[in-house]
Amino acid sequence: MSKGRANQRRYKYPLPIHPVDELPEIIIHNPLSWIYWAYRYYKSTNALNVKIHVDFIGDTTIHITVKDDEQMLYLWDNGFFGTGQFSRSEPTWKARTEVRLGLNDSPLENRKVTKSSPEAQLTLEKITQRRRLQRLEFKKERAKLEKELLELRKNGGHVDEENILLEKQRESLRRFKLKQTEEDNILTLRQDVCESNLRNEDNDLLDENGDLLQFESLELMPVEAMFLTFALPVLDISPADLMGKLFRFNVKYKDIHFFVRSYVIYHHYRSHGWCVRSGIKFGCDYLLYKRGPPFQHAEFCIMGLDHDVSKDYTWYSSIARVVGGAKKTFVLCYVERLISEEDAVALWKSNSFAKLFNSYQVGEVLYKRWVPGRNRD
Amino acid sequence: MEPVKKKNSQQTTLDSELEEAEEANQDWSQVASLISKNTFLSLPKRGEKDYEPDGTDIQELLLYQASKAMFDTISDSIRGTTVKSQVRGYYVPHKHQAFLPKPKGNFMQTMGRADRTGGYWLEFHEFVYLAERGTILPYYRLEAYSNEENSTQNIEILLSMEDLYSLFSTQQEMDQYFVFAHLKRLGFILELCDKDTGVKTSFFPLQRQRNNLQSITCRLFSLFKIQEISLFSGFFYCNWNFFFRKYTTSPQLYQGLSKLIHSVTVPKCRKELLSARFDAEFHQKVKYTPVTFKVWKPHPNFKKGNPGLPDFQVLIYNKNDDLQHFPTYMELRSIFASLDYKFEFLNEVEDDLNWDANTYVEGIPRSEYNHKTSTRSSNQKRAQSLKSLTESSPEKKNVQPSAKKKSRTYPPHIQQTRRLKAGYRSFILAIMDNGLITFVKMSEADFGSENVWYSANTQSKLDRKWRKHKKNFS
Repeated sequence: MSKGRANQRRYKYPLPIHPVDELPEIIIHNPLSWIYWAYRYYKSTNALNVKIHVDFIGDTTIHITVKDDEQMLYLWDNGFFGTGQFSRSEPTWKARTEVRLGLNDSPLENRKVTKSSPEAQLTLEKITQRRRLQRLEFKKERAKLEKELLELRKNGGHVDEENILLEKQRESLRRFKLKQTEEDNILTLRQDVCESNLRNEDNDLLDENGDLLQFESLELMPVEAMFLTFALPVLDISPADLMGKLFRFNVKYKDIHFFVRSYVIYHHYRSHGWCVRSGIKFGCDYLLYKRGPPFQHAEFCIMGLDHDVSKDYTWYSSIARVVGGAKKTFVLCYVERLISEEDAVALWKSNSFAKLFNSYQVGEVLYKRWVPGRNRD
Repeated sequence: MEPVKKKNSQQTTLDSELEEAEEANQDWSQVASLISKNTFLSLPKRGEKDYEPDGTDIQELLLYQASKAMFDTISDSIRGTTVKSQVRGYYVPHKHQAFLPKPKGNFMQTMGRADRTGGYWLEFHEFVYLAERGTILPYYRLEAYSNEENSTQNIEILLSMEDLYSLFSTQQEMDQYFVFAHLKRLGFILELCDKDTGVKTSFFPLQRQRNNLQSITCRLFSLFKIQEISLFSGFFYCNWNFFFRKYTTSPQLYQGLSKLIHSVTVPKCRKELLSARFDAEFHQKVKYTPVTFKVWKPHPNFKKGNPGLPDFQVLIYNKNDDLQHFPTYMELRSIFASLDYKFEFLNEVEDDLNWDANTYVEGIPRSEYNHKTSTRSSNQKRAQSLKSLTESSPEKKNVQPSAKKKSRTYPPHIQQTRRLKAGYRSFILAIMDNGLITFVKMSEADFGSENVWYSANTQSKLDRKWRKHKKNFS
């Protein structure tokens, strides 16, 4: 519960543009408070004080990156944008390395303002690692017990004897699992810094003062970058400049089609409150999180398609299998262009992106495997 | 230990979704114990699965016992039909149907139909299915002219299964048969959609001719729809937006964002469904192969004459046929618009929807129709009063669904998730691949009209409201 509350506080805002919500209270019978309120209202703004700086790396494939520590975290905390290049998603490389090198005995002490529970101190990567280890141990234990059963069989044990042994084994496995979860709780209480084994190369990570350098940067998908500059003024680059970096000057419709379609889908779901992240790990275009990765699993997988396109059936079934195996719902998102290709290119060239995206329409169809035997009554 | 299960173990581990279905497999050991009437031989019903040979005699023995039980069961059962209960079916080439002179049997409840002269006719796929099951004997009847008596003489040829299969006129028809037989074996009741016999049952009242005024207003509205697109100012997206406007909550920001992309809205309740039906007349530009089968879930009181709305509609698509393709979005939309079944999502939306009152048989509500037919039959003869008893049973059927947990009992955000996951109108697509069938449920979704955005205040407020609402109810 405490973890949930800490997350609630940390990820309070769903978008990097915050609403004006720290206005003073109005006291009806006190006109002074009205004036104060009006003053605060006038002074406040939704826009960011300092826009986030982006860098572009690479010639053929352009990477859009954010390098500043705080800005990286800001983009992650407010809407889960981008991916840390050395991390799974949240840029945690520096924090993890600090712990590993034992540089800052309590690096999380500083962060305690935002993260209060001990469990939150573990990075997601660490948790996964531990779970995998536990699972391995559990499998070893199970294999040991299975061997016992085989031994009994080889010695000609009766079926009843086997059943008794089986019952016993099940009980012991249950206890083993319980022990593991208890251990888990204890372990999280005391951070295991003990495994810090320094390597020679690690010295290169430090500056002259012995502080860890930040090597990780946050990489944004082109659609994310577009959203952060076109829909919300967050990045320090204009939409036109951004597109200029990503596409050559004289575009044809087929050059921009894929990007425009991706953006239309991205914007559609973002604007209805979803946290949209890349679906590459599930073989689709996007994943939809209701609030964000720390809160719950993604429940929907989105695949973008043109409205008049029909693919080979294997295409649909293979994605649906992967998505279904991960207990997610597969959504086919069809995009239709309502204007001609020439008009679309003209709008693109005149940088009227709002008009351009506005002339697209999306429609969704759910694709789900149907098992007759389970739908009989 | 139950080695019989072993066959399934690989599949079940692969696919947890199918687990339940797989578990319903036949348990041969029970049958075996019935036959042998010897409890000593019966196998323990459940246990751990054996995944691989472990080299012990015990496992060998268990495996042997299980397979023996299966073979015993198969070899002991009587095959073929008794002469007394034999039903003959005659294939009639020019109609591509089969004629049954003396029909009898359970199949008559769900298959075939009688014509005005009392002859009983089966569709060709029904004919093949029943022949394959051994229920009827398939014959080909030839009329031969004999010189001696100067009259025609019927020659009957008993058909083999190969003969029957060669009578399929197209690949499409064969695919239809495979889907039909597969679902039929599982107990579903199927009927061809384009069959124009019997009463016409529809969710929609009879098509009224739309008068001119209506069509004019409709056109006007669609004009507005186009206008709306070009009127979009995109103020939210210009540089000065945050200079002039102040957003005090996140939802306001989202509202600004969400005006950019249009999304297709789909009918979500009865009213919208009915009006969508009228619009559909205007949008029938794209044609796709129409839905093939109406499917009812198995239920004992099914009446061919007055079946009610089907539970599903099935469309068949052969993935190896170059002339067919997986439907595009435009085609999917036209299919959705043409659907006419028991729209199951309405049960979630509307309170205690009375299906009989909302189903139209021959243009009149089904409840009225049922009433009419039942009174007529009771007036006719006493013998038929028994029949009318069964006719009143649909009312019993209506009581059942309410026992299922209604979506309305869930808090709003769960309801929303359920709506998003289940979608609205849907149909079943049966994909054929060289005799293999896989089923897919395609449903319309509408993410555009659901907002999942979060703001701390609204969420807690909603929750409180919900709790209060619940308290009032209980």
